[in-house]
Amino acid sequence: MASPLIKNLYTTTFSQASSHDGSLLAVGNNEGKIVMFDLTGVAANQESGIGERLKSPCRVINAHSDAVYAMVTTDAFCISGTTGLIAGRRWSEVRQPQSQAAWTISLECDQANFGTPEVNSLGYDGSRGLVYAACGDWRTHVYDLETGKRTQTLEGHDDYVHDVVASGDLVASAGEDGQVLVWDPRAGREPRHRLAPHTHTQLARPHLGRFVASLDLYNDWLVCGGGPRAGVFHLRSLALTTVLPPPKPAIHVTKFTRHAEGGDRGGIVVAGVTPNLYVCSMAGMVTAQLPSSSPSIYTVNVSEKPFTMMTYGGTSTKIDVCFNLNYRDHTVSLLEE
Amino acid sequence: MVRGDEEGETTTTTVREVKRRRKEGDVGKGEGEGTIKTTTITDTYQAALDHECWEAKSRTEEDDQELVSSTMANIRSLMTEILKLKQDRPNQWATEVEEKRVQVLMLMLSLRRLSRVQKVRVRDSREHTVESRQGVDGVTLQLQNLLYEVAHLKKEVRRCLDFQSADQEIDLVPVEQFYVEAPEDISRPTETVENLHEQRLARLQWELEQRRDQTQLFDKLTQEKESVAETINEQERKLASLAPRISAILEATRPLQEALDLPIDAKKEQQRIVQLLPSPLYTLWVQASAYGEAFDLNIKVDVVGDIDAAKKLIAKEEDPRTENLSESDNEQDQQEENLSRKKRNRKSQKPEVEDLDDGVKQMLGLHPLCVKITIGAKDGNSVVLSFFYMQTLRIVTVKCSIHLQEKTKPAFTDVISGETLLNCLFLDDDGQSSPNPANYFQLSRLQINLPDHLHITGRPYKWAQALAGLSFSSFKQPNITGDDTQETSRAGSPSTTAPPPGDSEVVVWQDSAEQMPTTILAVRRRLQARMALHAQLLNLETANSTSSIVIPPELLRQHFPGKICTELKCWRPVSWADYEAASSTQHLRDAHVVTPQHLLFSAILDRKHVRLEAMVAVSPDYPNVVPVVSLTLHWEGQHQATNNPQLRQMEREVNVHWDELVSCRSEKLHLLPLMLYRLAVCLDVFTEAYSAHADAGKPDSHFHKEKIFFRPARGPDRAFPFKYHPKLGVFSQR
Repeated sequence: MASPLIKNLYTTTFSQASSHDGSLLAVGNNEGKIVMFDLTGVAANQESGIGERLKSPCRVINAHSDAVYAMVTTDAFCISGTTGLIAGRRWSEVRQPQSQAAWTISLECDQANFGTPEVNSLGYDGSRGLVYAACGDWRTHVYDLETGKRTQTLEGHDDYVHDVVASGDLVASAGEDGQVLVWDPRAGREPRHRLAPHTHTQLARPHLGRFVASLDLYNDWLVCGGGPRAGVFHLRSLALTTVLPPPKPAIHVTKFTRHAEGGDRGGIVVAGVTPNLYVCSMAGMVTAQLPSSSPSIYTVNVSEKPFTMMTYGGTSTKIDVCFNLNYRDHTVSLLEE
Repeated sequence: MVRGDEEGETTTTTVREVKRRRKEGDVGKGEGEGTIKTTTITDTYQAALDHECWEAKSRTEEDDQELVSSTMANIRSLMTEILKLKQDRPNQWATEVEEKRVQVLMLMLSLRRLSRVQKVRVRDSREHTVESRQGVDGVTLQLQNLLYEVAHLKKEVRRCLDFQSADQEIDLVPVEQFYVEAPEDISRPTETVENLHEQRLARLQWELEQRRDQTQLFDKLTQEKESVAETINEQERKLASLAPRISAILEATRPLQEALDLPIDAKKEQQRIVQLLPSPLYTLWVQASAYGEAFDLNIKVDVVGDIDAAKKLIAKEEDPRTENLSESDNEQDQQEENLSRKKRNRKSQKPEVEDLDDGVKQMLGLHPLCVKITIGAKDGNSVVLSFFYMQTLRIVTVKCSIHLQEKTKPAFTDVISGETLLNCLFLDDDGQSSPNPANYFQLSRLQINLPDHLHITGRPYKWAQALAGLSFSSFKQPNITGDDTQETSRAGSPSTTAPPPGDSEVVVWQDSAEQMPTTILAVRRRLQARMALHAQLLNLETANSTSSIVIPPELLRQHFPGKICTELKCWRPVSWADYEAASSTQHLRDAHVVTPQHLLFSAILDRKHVRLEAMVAVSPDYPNVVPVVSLTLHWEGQHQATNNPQLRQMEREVNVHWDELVSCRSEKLHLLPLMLYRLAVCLDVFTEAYSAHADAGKPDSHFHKEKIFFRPARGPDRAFPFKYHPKLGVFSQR
């Protein structure tokens, strides 16, 4: 066996989720482990305005045999996705040492070509209780959390699906094939809009590929990035409105931050294969450039309630923590002491 | 009556005042009218006084009380009558009033006299009281004196009771025994049985007799003892004179032994030399030869060195002057020596540097004897370990040399030299610094940098200290049970002398015995590994293609696909400075995975115009510690693990998942070429998977897909399919 020292050098953090009450943060890595952080101390001190650092992990769960590629939070559950499996754990139970997954959903593997598909991203529609899983079999599967049954499958990508986001009535997915598809799941099987960022000359970066690794929805706005540069699209006109920095590296995270600094205007977080995280305005201006302890960032988690906190991690055993979107507050190790 | 009582006091006081005034008036009158008259008056006064005294005695107070009340009643009645007369005014009321007034006045006079009588009575009783009080005081004083006297006497009595007689201290034989043992003339049972005092005297007498006898006996025995000692001395002298004769006989037999090739004497000689070894080397010799005899005939143990010097050293140590040779004494000696040297040097005008060198020499001085252990391997190669003991620093050092059956071709990197063979035999044991914590101060005082001298003295590996039974506090954490065993071991083995107080090392032979098999196994394996590594390095230095990397064919078939496009172009050793200069190695250096102890190489792998530069760090403990690679890819710019996730996955595939390539120790010896081969395969996959994604803009940069994989990328990090499934012949993501 390789020494843990060397193994840790190649650890990658893929996903994060934080509970709605702001008391727990879950971080999933490539070894199938979910690292739990207790935020109650931070939350208590955040109200009094005294700076508090995250403590070392309160628990490390050996959740899956493969990488925890995706996580999403609901009111009661911390849902994690890995190769061929989606599992839900109750937030109220994850602290207990022997707690197991409350439920699991196995992905059907009907096409031998793909092997067992992986869950690359999870989206959650709270109003309907639906979970969207962006999968390696080129499709986005929709599951009803009440029954645990698959209710729908969104087919349209020509390669595996990187990311899926549900916002309001709309669902958007981004794929390795370079397409961004916007669906109205109630309306039918065909996507309502198709976007192809690599066809826009301002965004295209052929040497990096055409894949779209990340996207986010907010009202009429959609932000996405990957091989092409990150860009903001207006959904009604389907027009590219803003090109976002950074120009060089591949993008793995694009995210709207709704009630962050800057009031109603909101901001956009962009990160990728670069040791910096960029916070931009809707106009594409960089408002903050935060250093990262990971050379590449794969996951950014922003929670606004009960206090603003942003955590980001990637190709290292550390995550960085900010309590606003302007500077990095501190860095926490994901290793158990 | 009642009122009179209440007012009694006030009336007496007023009467006293009046009397005083009158007295003063009398005196004034007396002075004015003449002295003759006063004498008569005085006499009358005296008579009046005497009369009053008599009156006071003749009547009781109660009588007077009644008299007063009757007089008062008379006065009252007369006064009422006067008042009545004055109101009614009958005839001749004035004379009647006058008459009554005189009566009243007379009554007043008698009242006054009564008062005076009372005064006298009061004075008398006062005087009486004072007299009786004096009497009481006297009696009280007497009582106290008597009490004090009683207490004093009691104390004296107690003291007398507590008195200890001298004979009480003496232990006497019990009474029954006394009557049985003592002769009649002392015990005198007739007199003493009843009289306890006489009995005690008799017993004391008997005790005295007995003690006298015993003293005599003691003197006699002492004399006897002395005479016996004298005879013993004489016999010892005789024995001593025997020894030279016996050795002469032994000397005479030697030619015979040699002629018959009997090793008796050689063994004896060895035994004799062994006695001269310092205790750590002795422990080492005992353990190594015991292990060799018991388990392993390929281990030979010898003691070599200057025997005469060792003998002198022991003689010097036994000299009482320098017996307790402590650090400070040592230093003093050294300073004295330096001083004498200086005197001599003053003539020859030598600089002071010589003195310092001399101090360094003494500090790093080795014991003249060393233990040589020859460990033979199956293939005829052998490792010779020479263990030295540094007398001042009190540590054991090792020099190593290798004796090969066949001469090998030299490689650029010499991995089978005695200098480096034992480097990091165990974890973190580079033999660069002294394991004895006390040495730090000794060395820094003389400004000695130990690593500069190691090529002369040998290296103080920690395992060597353990083999010699030296344990230092920093090397092994002391615990309670460990201390206990150390105590018993020291008590049980007289050969390991207890160290002088103040020294930090303790000689423990159990440690040595436990360490011996593992150490010898480790040395054998190290030699085997280094021979394998040497062959691999020789091969790699001359290799100019991937196919020329020598790998056992069954491993090659088992782990890799048939066709490899990437070629190994170059393999060369690099220095630590070069390694440090490469930015791709930073994460490995930061994590202390690679240290300057490693053997460092650079490998260049090419596929067409794509060039992969791999920095390979081979641990001195290869293959127990697996080599690590760090990659730089030159293809449309420079890529490294930090800025290219796929290249990081490739590094991970090689550095972390090497355990899929080897299943046992013999296969692990081939790890380095296996890892390089895998690197070549990974570069094939990388180029093909990358080409599958990039838009086919430039035809020359495109690589045709030759490896079988279903998905060029998978997961959020777009992982490339580096993992090979030998049974299916396909590649997939991890």
